[in-house]
This record gives sequence, structure tokens and C-alpha cells, in this order.
Amino acid sequence: MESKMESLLYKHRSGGLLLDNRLAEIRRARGITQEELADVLEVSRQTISSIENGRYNPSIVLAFKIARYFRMTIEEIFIYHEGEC
Amino acid sequence: MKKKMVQNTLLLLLGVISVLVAILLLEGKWAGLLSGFGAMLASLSGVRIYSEQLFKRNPELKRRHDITENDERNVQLNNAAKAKVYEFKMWPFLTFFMVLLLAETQLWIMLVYVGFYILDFFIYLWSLNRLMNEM
Repeated sequence: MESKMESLLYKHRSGGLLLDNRLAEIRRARGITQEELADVLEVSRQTISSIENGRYNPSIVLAFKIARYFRMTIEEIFIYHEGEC
Repeated sequence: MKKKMVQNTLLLLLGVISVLVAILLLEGKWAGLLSGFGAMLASLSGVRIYSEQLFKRNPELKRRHDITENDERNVQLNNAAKAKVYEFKMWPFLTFFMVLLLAETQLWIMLVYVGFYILDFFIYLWSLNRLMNEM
């Protein structure tokens, strides 16, 4: 049975690689809206939404910005599964 | 910022002057061409001047505009759309070339047409090479 955390993971298939992220879960846990996060990171709200839904992989710079904002490591937010597709 | 403002003001003046010259001094197709060009120049620079003024009065609006414009996803989407257009462009080009051929258009027109396509391809290769050296 999937844990709550796993169920909140969003999967993104890109070039045969699988990238999950826990952005939506972490953002909700901190009580931040997509607009607020987008405003702090200086990106559009649609970008945050697309990352959360797994439709868009952020650049390494944006991934760092997100991780720094939440005081976490990139690996805690973005999970890369090599060769699991 | 100031340089841009001066540039846009000069373009606006040039546009207005072009329209006036076309209306007052010229006739026929040249009047049409110049007035069209002038109107385009004047409206384009007018809009730029207006938006610069608007952003000056409202820094928050400017910040939001910059975020939307520089947003990495928007930039990627924009580039992907441009790439799609570049890929698709070959088909209308070939179709129109066939039309020119069947209409027995003068050779120099067809050569200029093909020349533009070749130039386009060379710009692509040059950009690719430059980007490869940069990245």
C-alpha cells in the first residue's frame, strides 16, 4: 500500500527518465499558496503549477532556488529514479 | 532606459513624418507604402513609449511583466514554438516556390526567393555554431 507521501509524489516522464517531486506536498505543509511561492521565486504561478503536476522539469537554478526557499536539499524535493521507466 | 526613450521618440517622429510626407507629397503606391510604414513605426514606438511610462509609474506592474517575460517555462515554451514554426516553414516555402514556378515568374524573383531561404539556413548554422561555442 502506498504511503501518504508516495501518493503525493507526481511522476514526470522525460526522455525515458522518471522524475518525481514533492513540491505540492511541502508547499501545502508550510501553508504557502502557489502565487506566494511564484512571487518569491520570481516565476509565474503556471510554472509552479506545472512543476507540481509533473508537466515541467525546472532548471537546476530554479530547483536550487526552491530547495533554498524551503531550507531543504534538492534531493528532498525532487526524486530522480534512474532506469525505472 | 533613457537611451531607449530617445530611440523610441525618434522612431515615433520618423513614423509621423513618413505618414505626413506620404499624405502631402506623394501619390500612388509610394504614398501607400510610406504611409503604411510610417503608421507601423509610429504605432510601435508609441506603444513602447506608453508602456515605458506606465511601468515607470507602476514598478509592481513592471516587476510582474518582467517575471512573465523572463519566466523560464515561458521562455522554453516560446523557443519550442519558434522551433516548430522553423520546422513547418519548409512546406509553405516549397508550395509557394511551386506556385512561382508554375506561374512562370521571372528567374531573378525565384533566385531571390531561394536566396532568402539559403540565407535563413546559414543564419541557423551560424547560430548553432555560436551556441555550441558558448555552451
